[in-house]
Amino acid sequence: MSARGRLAALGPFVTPSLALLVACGGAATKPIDARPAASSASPALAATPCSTAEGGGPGGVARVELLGHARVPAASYCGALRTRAGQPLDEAEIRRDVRELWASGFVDDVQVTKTPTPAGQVLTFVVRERPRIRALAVRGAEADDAPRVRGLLAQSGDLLDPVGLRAQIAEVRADYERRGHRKVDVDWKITPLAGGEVDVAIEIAPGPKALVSALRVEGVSKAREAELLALVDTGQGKFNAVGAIYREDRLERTLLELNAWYFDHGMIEAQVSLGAATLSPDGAQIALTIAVTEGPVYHLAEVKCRGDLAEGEPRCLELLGVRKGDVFSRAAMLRGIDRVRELQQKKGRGTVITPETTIDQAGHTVKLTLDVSR
Amino acid sequence: MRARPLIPALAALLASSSTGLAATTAPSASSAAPAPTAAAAATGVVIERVVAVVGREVILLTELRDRARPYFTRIAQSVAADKRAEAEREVVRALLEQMIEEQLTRAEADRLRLGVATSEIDAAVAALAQGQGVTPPQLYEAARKQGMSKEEYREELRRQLLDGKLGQQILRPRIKDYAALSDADRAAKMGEARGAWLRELRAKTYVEVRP
Repeated sequence: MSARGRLAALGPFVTPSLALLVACGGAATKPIDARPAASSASPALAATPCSTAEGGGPGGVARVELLGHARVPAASYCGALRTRAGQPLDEAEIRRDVRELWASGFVDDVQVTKTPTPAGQVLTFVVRERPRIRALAVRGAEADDAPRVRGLLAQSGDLLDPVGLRAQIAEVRADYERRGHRKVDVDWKITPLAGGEVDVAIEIAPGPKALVSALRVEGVSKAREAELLALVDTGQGKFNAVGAIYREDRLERTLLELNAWYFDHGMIEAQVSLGAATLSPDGAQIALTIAVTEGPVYHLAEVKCRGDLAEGEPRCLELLGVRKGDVFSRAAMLRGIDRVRELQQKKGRGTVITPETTIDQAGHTVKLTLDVSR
Repeated sequence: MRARPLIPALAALLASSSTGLAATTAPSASSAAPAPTAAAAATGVVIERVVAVVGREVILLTELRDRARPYFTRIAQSVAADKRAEAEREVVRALLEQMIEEQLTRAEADRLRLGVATSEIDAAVAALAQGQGVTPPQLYEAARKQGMSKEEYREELRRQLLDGKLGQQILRPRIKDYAALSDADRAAKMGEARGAWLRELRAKTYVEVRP
């Protein structure tokens, strides 16, 4: 059961599902600055005071201190905190401070502890700084590829950023895929060292380049397959053509263009997707199938203009250029809207133009009203 | 002395190895770094900490605690004393998972520039109040009695509205012949599509649960 399902099993709160509805200045702080770097990379095990006040009372904050800093000076962390001694303990401010420290990019963990004393509460911000990358090794890349791969990755001396590293690994994989490799495997290993450092090893197994062995469109009845294939972006035969490499990113763009083509030919329910990309067992060939569900052709049942019209509805309809009975075309409608907007601008009238469409799925018709306002 | 948690029950639940919240398989700085000694050196009660990392964002202990509060209230009212601990553990496990999903969803909504306007939340409150034959203040009061402040209640609505928008924009186009499906089939297909979409988001996002 999903997380939602398990929570919902507890019974309804006053917040019901909105599915139906949907269907229808505080203290000045400083950004953390890592300069000057501390000479020691060992985390501080004794707390450094950030602020101290007397007479805070049992509920107030008597002292704010920092623990665990190593490379970044304590003053930099302390300067970023809004929580100050002498104030009442404010959970929201503490939450904001923790987020601020996290957002600095220098820390991998933050926790806050509270210790009661006769003078008031002592709040300790305990940080764990990110380790620094001592060495980053790349294995498995061809000599020609190595400089490009290295350029995509963190460098020795950088702080280890797990999120960034993951994005970099994904970019390395995508880089290989853009050059036709399938079954790209990129693995990585992080080895912790003394002194807050790590070694990072990246292992790449690019796999062979796969060439397109076939490209077909399935489900076509109203359009012609050849007409659709002509719309496939092949980069002048460099990719997504028989005998060329497969570029998934470019094919995704093509799918959007094919969808737009159907929208311009009245088939507003059409769905175009990658039906299959079948790799041969040796990974050297790939057969591509584009799957199409066309649906009915919609016609315009009514076309109207309303609102702040510069020269009345007949002129608006003339400029719009689409008429009752026409096959619906999104591109034609948008071109017409541009013409109407140009006139409206010239005449100093409303230029906020909203096309409102009412779709009759049973009759396969669309009613279009152009709403013009200032 | 080692740090002690402010909310023993909640922290114990989070620390439990039976939470079922597997950490990401990706290596993390925390797993790679030598054992932290500063945290061990700290004394006092832990009042705030990171319980999960989702991409560049974190989920904090107090956020999880605030979200759990109304559920704990309900459990206290409706679950036998000897079963409460297990029920609360299940709530924390499910809530943290839900909060991770929400963060993934929010990040995707930001990427797609989808948002929820205050006026949309106002309209949702008005519609819900009308549907229950009460005024918006009375609705907020009912929420308060269930452990949710007005702000938390509105935030919950915002999440649901955003979820609905994402459903319409992302999930619905993924469902073949959506228009021809019955309401029950639509709901089932939307649920499947949502699950698949969240798995995709999770696979490409750094997610780490910190017990």
